[in-house]
Amino acid sequence: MSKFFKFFTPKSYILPLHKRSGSVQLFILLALMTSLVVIIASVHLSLFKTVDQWQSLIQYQASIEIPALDENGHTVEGAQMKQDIRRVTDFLHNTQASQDIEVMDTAQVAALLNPWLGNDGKILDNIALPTVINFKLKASSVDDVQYISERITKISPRARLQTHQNWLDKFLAILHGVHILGALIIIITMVSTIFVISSSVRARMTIYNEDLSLLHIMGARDRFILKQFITYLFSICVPACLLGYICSCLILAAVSQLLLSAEIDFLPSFGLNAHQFITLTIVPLSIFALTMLIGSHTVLREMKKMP
Amino acid sequence: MIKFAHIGLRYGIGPEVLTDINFTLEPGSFHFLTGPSGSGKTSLMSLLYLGLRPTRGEISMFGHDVKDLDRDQMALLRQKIGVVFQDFRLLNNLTAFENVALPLRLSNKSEKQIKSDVSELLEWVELGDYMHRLPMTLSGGQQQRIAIARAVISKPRMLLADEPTGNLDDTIGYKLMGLFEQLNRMGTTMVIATHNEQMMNSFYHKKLILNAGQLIVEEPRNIIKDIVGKESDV
Repeated sequence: MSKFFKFFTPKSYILPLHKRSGSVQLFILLALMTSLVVIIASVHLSLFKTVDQWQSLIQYQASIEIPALDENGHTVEGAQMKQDIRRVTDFLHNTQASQDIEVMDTAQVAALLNPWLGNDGKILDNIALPTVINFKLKASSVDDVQYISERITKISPRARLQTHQNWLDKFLAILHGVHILGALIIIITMVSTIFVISSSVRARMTIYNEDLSLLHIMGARDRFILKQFITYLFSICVPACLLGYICSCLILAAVSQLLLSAEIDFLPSFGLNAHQFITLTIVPLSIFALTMLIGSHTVLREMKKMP
Repeated sequence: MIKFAHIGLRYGIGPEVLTDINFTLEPGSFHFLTGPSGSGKTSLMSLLYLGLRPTRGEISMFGHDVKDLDRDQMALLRQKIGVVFQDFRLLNNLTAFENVALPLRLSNKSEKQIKSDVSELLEWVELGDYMHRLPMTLSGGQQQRIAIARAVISKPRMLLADEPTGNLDDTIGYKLMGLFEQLNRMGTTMVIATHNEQMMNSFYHKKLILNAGQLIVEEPRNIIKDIVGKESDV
């Protein structure tokens, strides 16, 4: 393994820091942390995309549901139902706020229940399916929702207007929670990286204390000693971050393929484009920068203890 | 010139291990530093190679007041001091050549100059054939010569040696002292810490005698006068 690190090590490297145990563990830890943060960051990016997708799908969409049962639980007669549907659609056609009015047929309504009830026709036959009328609210008429709701209740007291806004708000709240959780995990991982690097550098400074004090006595400046540790950290961090990034990209690609092949209609597609993969390179670069920064800070702080 | 004025040193909250030390080392002078075990020789040597800061007093070195220097200036000052440790303190992962080259690398000398200077010096200390060997594969005497070569490669203004003849037989010990005399004649200020009375009496140099943390400077014995005095008595 030391030959592997030596590949990344310039000739001016004097202290054999990579030869002590712990280098491989540090390498694995950095690779794992990079992978973890890349995966969490990619979930973040994907969730942002999902929110956009769902918002564009649901925003301004509204539907009116007319239940097949009356308030006493009796099935509404066909003629009555047809009359209700006609009166509601007539109202929608005559209102400036609505457009793209569509009455869903029984098969379409049954399809909505598929994920919960399956395709068993017998079960659906025994359920009194409501009538659903979909339409789009014009962007400029969003404030008229209350007016439409009141008018529809007057036309057909059983009809209910559903703008999906409540559902969307709840969904967005959940996503917001997931975002906060992800950000917390990223922060914890970064803080762990700081502690790991700092303690690893300090441990090596203790192991090589004699050599360090010799170099110090011989007139080595602090930045000469710093260069030794930066070289060591560079030789560990660059391949670790690279490996972590590549592994996490492979995992993400595999998960994306798995979700695509599962054909889950109600979940938006999980996948990252090339631009997002390039954006994710910020993660290994940040971990690399953090490692170098913390390493330098620790070395200089410890060196200051020498006269 | 190196000047120690009213120097005191204590470790932590312990008692003073060096008390009111005053002495001056003129450029090109040669001093032995001696005293019983525990008298503070190692501490005084550490102060001389700027490995410790005194608790009180002032150290002036090559025209600089040490307490006024920043870390980089201190490092530059240390580069003017060569140290030969009793246990050699060679870096075991570096070859003899790399060990000797270290002071030159610290002062950013060119690789070309490093190669020629180190090779020449290793030939001079009769280790030309061993320059690519690791210290662990060399004998104690050879390791010591590497340590000396490392201390003198950058032509230091002062050379400190801690018990350099401690592990050597008399013949090699005197040969080594001859080498130090030669370096001293070239202008290097020498301070040799030793217990060897016979060795000190064989050379006409001042003694810095430490006893319980206090220093006495003893002028060299005039051997000729001693001999002449004894003969006239007879």
